Order: sequence, then C-alpha cells, then structure tokens
Amino acid sequence: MIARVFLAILLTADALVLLPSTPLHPGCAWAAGASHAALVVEHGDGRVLRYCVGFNGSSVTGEQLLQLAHQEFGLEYGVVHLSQYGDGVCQIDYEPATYPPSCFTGSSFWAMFVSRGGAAWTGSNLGASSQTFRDGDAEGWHWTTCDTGGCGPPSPAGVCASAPPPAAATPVPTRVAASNPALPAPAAATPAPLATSTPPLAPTPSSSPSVSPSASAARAEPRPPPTGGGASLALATAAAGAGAMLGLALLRLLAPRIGR
Amino acid sequence: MALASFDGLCYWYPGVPAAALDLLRLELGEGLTLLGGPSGGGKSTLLRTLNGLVPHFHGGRVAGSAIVGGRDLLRTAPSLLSRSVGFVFQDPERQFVYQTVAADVAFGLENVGLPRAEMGPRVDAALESVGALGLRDRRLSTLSGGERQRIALAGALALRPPLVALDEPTSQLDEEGAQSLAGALDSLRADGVSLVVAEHRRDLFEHRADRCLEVEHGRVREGAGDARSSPRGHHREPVGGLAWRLAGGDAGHDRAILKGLDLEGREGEVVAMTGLNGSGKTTLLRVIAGLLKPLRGDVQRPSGRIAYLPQDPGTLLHQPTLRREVELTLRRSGGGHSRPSAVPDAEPFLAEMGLAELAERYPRDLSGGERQRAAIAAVIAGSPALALLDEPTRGMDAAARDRLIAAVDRVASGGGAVIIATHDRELAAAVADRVVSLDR
Amino acid sequence: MFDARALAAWSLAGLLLSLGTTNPFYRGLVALAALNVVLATARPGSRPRALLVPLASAMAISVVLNLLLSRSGAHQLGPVTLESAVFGFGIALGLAASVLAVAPLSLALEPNQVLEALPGPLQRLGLAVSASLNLVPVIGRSYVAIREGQRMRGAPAGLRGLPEVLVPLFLTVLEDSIGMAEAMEARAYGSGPRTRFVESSWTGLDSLLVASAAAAVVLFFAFPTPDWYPYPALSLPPLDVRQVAACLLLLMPAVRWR
Repeated sequence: MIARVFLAILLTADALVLLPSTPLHPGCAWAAGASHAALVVEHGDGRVLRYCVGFNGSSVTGEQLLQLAHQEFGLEYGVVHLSQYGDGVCQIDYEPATYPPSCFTGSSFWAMFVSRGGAAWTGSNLGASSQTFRDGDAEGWHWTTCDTGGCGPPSPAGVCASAPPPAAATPVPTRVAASNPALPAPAAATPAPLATSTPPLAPTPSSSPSVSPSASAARAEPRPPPTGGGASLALATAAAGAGAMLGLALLRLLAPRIGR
Repeated sequence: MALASFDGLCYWYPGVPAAALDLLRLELGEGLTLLGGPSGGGKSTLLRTLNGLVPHFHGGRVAGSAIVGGRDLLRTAPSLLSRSVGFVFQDPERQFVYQTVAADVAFGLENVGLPRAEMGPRVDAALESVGALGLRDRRLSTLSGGERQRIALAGALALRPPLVALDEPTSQLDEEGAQSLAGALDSLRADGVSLVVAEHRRDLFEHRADRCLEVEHGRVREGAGDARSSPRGHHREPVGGLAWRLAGGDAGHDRAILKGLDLEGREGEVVAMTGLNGSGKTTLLRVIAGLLKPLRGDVQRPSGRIAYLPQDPGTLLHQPTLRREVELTLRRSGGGHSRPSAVPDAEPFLAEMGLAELAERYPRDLSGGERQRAAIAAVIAGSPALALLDEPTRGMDAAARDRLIAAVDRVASGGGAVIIATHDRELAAAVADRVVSLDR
Repeated sequence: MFDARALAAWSLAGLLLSLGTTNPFYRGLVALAALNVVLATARPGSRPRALLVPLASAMAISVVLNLLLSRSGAHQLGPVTLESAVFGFGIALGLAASVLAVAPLSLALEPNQVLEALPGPLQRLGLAVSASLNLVPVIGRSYVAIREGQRMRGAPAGLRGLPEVLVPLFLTVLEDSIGMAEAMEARAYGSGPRTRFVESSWTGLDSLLVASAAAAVVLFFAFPTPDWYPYPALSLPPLDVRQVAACLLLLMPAVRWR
C-alpha cells in the first residue's frame, strides 16, 4: 500500500517534471484566446515543434506569436533588433547554440514562412516584426539555407483544430523546466501522441534537414508579389529610367559638348 | 564752404614718436585736390582723416581739431563720417566684399539701411557716373584692375557723398587702367563731386587738378613740389659675354602665352620688357628665373646669384629690422662677387635706396613706398649675376625711382645683367639699354 | 539657372529619398537622377569629375569593407557571400545618392549665390564669409609669390625654409584682413541696422523645381514599400511604380528647359 502510494507520488512527480520539458501536446496544445494561429518550427536536424497560439485582437506580428508561444508554451527564442529590418529571429529553441550580435552567421538561418488560411507555405517577404497573422493563418520557421516556399517546415494543417477539445490541457506552467538551457532536444517524445488530433500529419522528419519532408515539398509556391502597383510595371519603369539616366550621364561625362 | 577744415591737427600712429600729421590750418574745398609728396610723408594719413579712419580705426594719439562734412572729426565714428566722404583704396583686389558688381556697389547702401526698393536705382546711377553700367552683372573676378577701381569708385559714390578721397588709385594699374580711371574722375568733377587724390603719377593728374598740395613730414604746403629729375640718357656699353638666353621658348602655364621667343642678354646689360598687364611679363621673368619651366625651348642662366623681385615684394619682409633683412640676403649669397666677409655690411645697400634712417625700423611698419624700397634693397643687395625685377616702381615716388635707377646702374656696372618688367615706359627709357615689347 | 533656395529644396528631396529607404533600386535611381542633374547644371569652370572619382572610391571601399566584415548570408561565393556584397552595394548607393543630391549646391551655384540665399539671422556670417572668399585667391597668390621669392633669396628648401614662408604669409594675411576691415568701415559698415540688397531671380522654373521636389517626396512616402534587407537570404527588393516615378521626378533640373 505504502509502496503504491510512493509509486503514485513518484510518477506524478515525474510527470510534473517531465511534462513541461516536452513541448506538451504540441499538436493539440490549445490556448485561450479569441483568435488562433499555428506555429510550426522545424530544426535543422528535422525535429518539429507545433503550437496553436491564441491571441486577442484581429492580428499579431510573427514576433508576437513567438512571444505568445513563449508565454503559453515555454518556447525559447532569441531576437536582435536590426536597424532597417526590425527584429531578426536569430535562435529558436536553442538552435543555434549561440549567435552573434549581427544575428546571422554562416549560411543557415531561421527562414520564415507564411500560410494564409490553411494554404501551403510561402516564404515571408517581411521580417518577424512586420509580418502579420490573422485567425487561421500559420507561421512557420525552418532552420535552413533557403527561404523559398518549397523549403518550408511540415504543413500546419490540423495544428489548430476547429474546436477546442474539452479536456484541453491548461496552459502548462512552463517556466521551470523550459529555462534549462542544457536540456537536450526532447525530440524523441514528440511525434507519437499527436496523431490523435493531427490526422494528415506527414511522417515526422528524421531525414536530413535540407529535404523538406512535408507534403508541400513538391509544390514550389511562387512568392507573393510585392505590395502595390504591379511589380512588373514598376520594374520595367525603373529599368527604363535607370538605363536612360545612365546613358545620359555617360554621354555628358565623356562627350560634354554633345550632351549640352 | 570748406568741405573739410583742420585746425592745428596733429596725429601720432601708435608707438611711433614722430608725428605723422602736423597741420596748422588747412581747408579743403571743391574741385579736385591733388596730394603729392614722398611716400611716408603723410598723404595717406591725411586722406584717412577725412573719413575718420584716422584716428578712430588706427588708434594712436591726436591733438587739435578738425571739422569734416560739418561733423567733428574727433567725436564722430568713421561709419558716420563715411556717409559724407567716400574712399577708394589702392589695391583693386583687397577692398571688395561681394563677388558681383551690383551687390558690391550696394554694400554701402545696405550699411546705412536704405530701403531695398531704392537701392537698385542708386546702384545704377553710381555705375553710370563712372561709365561702368555695362559691367553691372559681371563677376568682380573677371574684371581688369582698371575696371575694378572704377567699381570701387562707384561703390563709394553710391552713398552720394559730396567728397571722395582716393589713395593712390592708379598705383597698381597699367597705363590703360590708369587712363580709364582718370577719365572717370573727369566726369565726376563735371557732376560736381569734389575729389581729393593722393598720387605719384603727376603726368596724369597735374593738369586735372584744381589745387596741388605737397605733404612731407606731416606738413602740408601749397604747390606742385620739386621738379622731376630728368631721365638720363644711357650710354653704357654692355661689357661682358652672354649672361642669359631663352631659345625657341614658349612660356605659359597650361597654354602658351608667349611663343617662339628668342631673347638673350649680356653681362652688364639692362633689358626692359614692356607690355600691358596680362601680356606675360611676369611669366617670362619667372621662366628666366627658373621658377617656371618653359613649355618649349630652354633657358641659359649665369652661374652666380640670381636676384628676383616679385610684384609685391613687401610680402617677403619678415625680419625684425630692415638691416637684418638685408643682412639675411647678404649672408646667403656670400656677398656675391666680392670676397665673403664674416659680418655682412648692409650699410651701402641701405644708403643706396635712401633707407639709412629706417635701418632699425620694423619693415612691415613702413609706408607703402618705403616698403617697396626696403624690399628692393633686401633683394638686390650684394652683387647678383642676374637681377630680375617685376614692376619695381609700383607706388614709388620720384625720389625713390631715382634711387632705383641708381641701384640698377650699380648692379649693371658690376657686371650683372638686369631684366626689368614694367609698364612704366619712362623708367624703361631712363635705365634700359634695350627695350623688348611684349604687346600683342 | 536656378535660384539657390529652389535648388536647396531639390537637394533636400533627394536626401530624404535616398536616406528614407534601404531599397537599392530606389537609391540607385536617385543617384542616377542626381548624377544627371549635377552634370547638367554644373557651371562652367567647376569640375564635376573631381567629385566623381573620390565618390567612386568611397563606394568601392564600402563594398569591400562589408564583404570582409560580414560572412553571413545564404549564397556563399567562396569566402564571401552574395548578401554581404549586395548589402555593401546598397550602402554605396545610399552614399552616392546623398552626396550627389547635395553636390549641385557647390557645383551649380557660385558661393555668393549660396551666401545670398541665407536667411536673415545668418546674414552677417554670410558677409564675413563672402569677404573672406574674396581674399582667398589673393592669399593663394601671395603664398606662391612668397615661396618663390624666398627661394630665390636662398631660403633652404623643405621644412627648414618653411618659417621664412609662413611668417611673412601670416603677416600678409593679417594686413589684408585689416585692409578689408578698413575698406568696410570706409563704406559705413557698422553704423546701424542693415538692409539687404537682394535681387531676386526667382523664376517660374524655380517654382516648378520646388513643386516637383515636393511631389517626389509626397509620392515616395505616401506609397511605401516594406523595408528591404538582403539578409539572411537575398530576395528581389519590392518596387512600387509610384515610388519609381517619385525618383524619376528628381530628374527635373537636368532637363533642358529652353
């Protein structure tokens, strides 16, 4: 009897200790909030983290989503403010282990992706502090060397199910264990329990990081066109103008009498 | 009514014991008054009392009294006196504040706070009266010396003063420029403007003057002063062989100003190069001196010291006394042909230029003409093998010019060759064995 | 041809556009437009080429410096990355655009035009600068004459002979300044409040210039594109045709309006 009580206490303690260190129910993690956006993070070695992040208001920035994920789920990330770019995301879940004040180093980086209303991933043309997400959108991060649509993390489908499961885990008191920097990647525990609420989840990536395992790999989505006025018209105008000005300038420089 | 009246006015420059002005009674009236006299005699000082620069700008001590334009000189600031007395200075390059003609002529009008709308007509009228209305929109840097002095005159006239004082206005100008300025003064006289002009160029002004005054040692007396020394005829035969030569030469900076020159000179020969400002005299001298490479051809120079007197030689002076300045040159040159002595003797060279009394003075304190003589003494002291003089008689009075002629004679007699670039044809006639004209 | 104030408005517009974006396309367009304006409006006697050579060197240094300092970027080209080259080039273009936007103020205008355009409280300063400007060539000639004269008198060459040149030069400059002050006082300077003789040369062309500069600024900032950054992976900078038009509006002074 006493042994069973002890075992129960031990198991509960274990659960209490271990549970926060894993991205708990990342697939069906559900947070309070009027709106929800999915957050999918794929490490360089293929480990995937998935969160459904709740927020109030109609839209949040990508960085705010990360911040909310940190508050709600204990996701750790690091940013550096870059003067012309806004905030650059330099580290997510301790990858890379360290980063310089200029944020980027080497050829791999955290590539940001956007999925609007369940569509396939497209590369984000804005930084984390400028890109916005609404209810139903998804934010993706992949530690890789490319940021075109085909390089995205696994699909966000099903990360935020349409209705919250009644027994949704309350937001876990995350701080304690999650702040342990020596924590090894808890990848092993990840994939299996999710299957319940994430039906079409593609096999979790275990292959090399450069191969995107998600179903969207085959699809090469075009980048969203730049805002305003028609990119090709602007480009054509700019090219024509630049060419003309360059020609005129060269003419004036090399043959001043003709140019006047 | 007298425009200016002086009653026992005495003035001393700061730190100078001798009085620069010692006037008993003097009244200046209408018409053109010409001030003559040796340099350093007080002409410039007297002129500056007319607009209060003396004593208010230059400091020093003053005694006696003077009334100028109805105002008490000793109690009125120059900026106020200037409204009734215009002033034109000697140097056409150092008296303009703005860069365009119209703007600079209007400077005086700005200073008295004339309403903007009235300035335009006044500027035009002033330019008209000196015959320079066509230059109204020109930049000052593009004008010749004579044109600039006329603009300076217009600037003084803009305030419509009854009296204009001019301090050696033609000393930096060549013949052409001097003539045009004198013509402008003629038309001013006809307009009823009174003028007081300090000048050495008697030939140009004597017949224009209503009254002539001599200023010497600060004292003023009526009359035209000593007769000019007559130019001496020259009968010196060049004694030696070839001293210098310029063969097949083109001279200039970027482009050739002078082309195809073949010139040479012998030892003991004095050559004068004449021509208007801008004809290339200075360039040619510099090429012969070795300061400028000829664009074509080559130059032969004598062995031995070459003395070079630039156009504004007063700028070279920097020693504490005039004697030290001359000694510096003698030390460097080893006395020239004569045996080098331990202590260079500056006396004969100072005396030659009439500077014996000024030997202990700070050269920069001397008056314009005195400085000119001092610089000449400093440069051609000793026995140079070749002496190159660029406009040596600028701002010189008759006595000083005589001394210069004597000094040139001395150098030539000692076997040195001399080249003088000058637009002063009388000087050329008085001293040169040969005249080369560079006019195009 | 243009009034100083109108040209200053244009320069301001050019500066705002070149510094208000990181987009290298826009910066390049502004730089090209300003280059054409400089070449078209440079007054005879000024030498725009003297500006272009140091500017090109500064641009090249900027690119090389960035290549050496920054190793990040997705597209590796040996030891350097394409992103760092592009970033350095973006800086270089910004430099070129800013410098060329301001250049006409010294190449197209005479110094006195700039001084005359100064507002009221700075007028006295402008006067002092103007009078000094007149003495500068005189001092230059004095320096040459003194150096040559002393050399001919036997002054040692090089550093040892420098005092014999500098001391009399300093005294000459002092005397020239006193003479200038005397000349100014002889024309009633300092006798009371001053007015200005300003001959306004403002023409319709100047109004057009100011209007086009203002339009360029408004157009450019009314339709902004997001800030562009080459890191971490190079992408095509966004372009808006209205912003392109704004950059091209800066070309107005280069057109021959006769």
